Amino acid sequence: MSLSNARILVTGATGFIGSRLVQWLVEVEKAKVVAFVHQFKNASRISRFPIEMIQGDVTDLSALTVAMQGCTHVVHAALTSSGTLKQNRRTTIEGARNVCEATRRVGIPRAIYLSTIDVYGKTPPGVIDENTPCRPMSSYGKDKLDAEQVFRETALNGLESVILRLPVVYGPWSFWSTYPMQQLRQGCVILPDEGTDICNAMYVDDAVQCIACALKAEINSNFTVCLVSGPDRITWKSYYEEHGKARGNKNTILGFLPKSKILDRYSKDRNILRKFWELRDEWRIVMRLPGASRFLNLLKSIHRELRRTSRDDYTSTASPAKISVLSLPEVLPEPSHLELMTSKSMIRNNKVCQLFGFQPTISFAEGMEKTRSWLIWTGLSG
Amino acid sequence: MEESKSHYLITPVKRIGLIGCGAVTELLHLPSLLARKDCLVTALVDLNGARLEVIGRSVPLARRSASVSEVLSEIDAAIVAVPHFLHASIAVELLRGGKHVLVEKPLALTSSECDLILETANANDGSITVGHMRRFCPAVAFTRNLIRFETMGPIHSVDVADGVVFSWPVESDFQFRRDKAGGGVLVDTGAHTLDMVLSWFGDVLPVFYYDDACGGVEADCIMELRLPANTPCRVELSRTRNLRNSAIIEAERGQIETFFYDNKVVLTFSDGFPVIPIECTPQTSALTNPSLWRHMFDYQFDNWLDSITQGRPAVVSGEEAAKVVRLIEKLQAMRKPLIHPWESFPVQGESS
Repeated sequence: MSLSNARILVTGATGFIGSRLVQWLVEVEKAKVVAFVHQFKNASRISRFPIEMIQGDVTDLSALTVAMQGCTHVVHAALTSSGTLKQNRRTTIEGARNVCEATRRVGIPRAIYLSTIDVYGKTPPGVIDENTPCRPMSSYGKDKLDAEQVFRETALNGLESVILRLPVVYGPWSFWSTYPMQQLRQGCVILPDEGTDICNAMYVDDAVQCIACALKAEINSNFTVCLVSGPDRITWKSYYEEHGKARGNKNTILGFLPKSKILDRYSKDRNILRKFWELRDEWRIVMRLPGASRFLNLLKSIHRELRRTSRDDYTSTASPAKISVLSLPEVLPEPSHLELMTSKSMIRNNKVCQLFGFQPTISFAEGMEKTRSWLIWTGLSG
Repeated sequence: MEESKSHYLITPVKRIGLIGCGAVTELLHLPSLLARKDCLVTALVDLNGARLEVIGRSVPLARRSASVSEVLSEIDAAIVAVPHFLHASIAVELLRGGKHVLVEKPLALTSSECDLILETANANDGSITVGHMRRFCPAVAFTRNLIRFETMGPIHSVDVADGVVFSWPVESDFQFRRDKAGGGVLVDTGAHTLDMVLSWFGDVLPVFYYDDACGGVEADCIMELRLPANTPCRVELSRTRNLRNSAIIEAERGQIETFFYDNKVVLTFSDGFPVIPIECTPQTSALTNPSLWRHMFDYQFDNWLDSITQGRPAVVSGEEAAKVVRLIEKLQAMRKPLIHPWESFPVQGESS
């Protein structure tokens, strides 16, 4: 089925996947695109294309309904991570509910919802597929799974819902490409275990191609969940090393720690924060004293020193002497990423390939080459 | 005309109309005007009633209207901060009413619109100036003198990189629509950049221009200009990246680097003399602290209101602003696509 006569509403159109999807739909599929934009100030990238932009919030049902008038398809890619957990959950769940309701009101037959592999939480070693039980651990994964449920319920009323559970999607503008660069700039990046756990990664162009396939495919079911991944099996160590190559002649230094020790580090940091919080009234008094800021800097440097001396318990791609000379701070993974970075599960792509005729085409090597050229262009490689 | 000018000499407080109640009016024009004693905001014009309400809270006595013609009798001068495609028609209406007009950059979408505005200004009592407020950045003004007096000797090359990730809290999508804005980053940021280059070097010739628009407006562009004496000048603009945000001027006796958002000039001498960093007042960055913007707008209004009172031209004349529009037109006419290596899409079924 061609999309050349389609009019497709994309929520989250200014986001990283949304904006590349808009470009794909316009340039490759020759479709008409209506971008549902939360704030116009984020629209620079998609404004390069001949599209219609409508401002609104996915939590606003009437705005969504107006925006969907005349549309034939919907891709719901909007999400927020900038608010409190409660606000983020509201946007995710209420957004999904409103998209479903607006779709029903306008009479659009099919909606694609971009979900995440975070809905699985801790997965067993080996291959996982759509039948693997979902036990999300992060609030993001839980919210996404609940939003999937909203689409599942709406599917009973006739809407064709396709849920695409996306893995780590990397490439230009991706958090999963800018964040590793930021970490590498900060110091010695600590990876769980030996960094040999599986990174289920996919280049952004494969992700948008998959969405386009899902829009075009003939489907017999009202509710379809597909797990998606890239073509290569890669590890987190190679993921970071390949990003590090964008830094040119600057060293990419990775450290490896057992997961248990990373969890210890988190709890130590939490304890320090808790102590600071408990003594907040005293600190207010201390900070009024002359020389207080110098004293605080001294405490910070002691904390840094303690962090540095704890280095002898991990292995690294650089010699301990080199790290000591460079005086690098250790950069731990985000606590919310730890499960993902210790996953020993490999995604099976079979269903999405069979149903939608999708095949990922961008190898990790090619994807990283493009990503690196983008990182250099944006100045984020340094 | 003399009689009209003398009228302003005996009217110390100017009645200002704000035409357009968007973000720039709320965040920059209005705070600066409210702090002044030589003017009063007496009218607000916008088609959007909600925006009139928001701005009207700060100036409750100002007349609110959706039409310029309704407030002409209530104002002596007006600031036009509306989508670019409306600049010409509104400026002409105000000038025909004998008002002094400050139009946000760019002066208009096309050179023919600029000509119409300039002709109307000449034929009537009012005056026209344009909000190229970067001229009022002390570091930019200082650099102009360094160039004018050849402090570092003859100039060999110029390289300007001007870009920040777009975060201006726009109230509408006009900045992203070619029919309303006339273009993207070239017209928006580029109007300031090109005005700065023109004010430093005089007339320039465009050599090439590449941008990344694909049926919409450009977010990134690169161009080369020829300055007098055939000196090359490269300009890169971006709405998607934080660039160096400086102009590097290579000259015979060394280098001038002007940081137009940080209000700083760094002189590096080729004979090994120590580098001289000159931090202009206020010592702040416009990217992190809005106070520099505020200073520039204050200077701009000082100059504009003084020029009205004294009947002399403002720093940024309509003719100079028209040159920016003409240069943008020439660049757009020679446009070639800017294609990045990560932009092309793979074809389904083709192995990489």
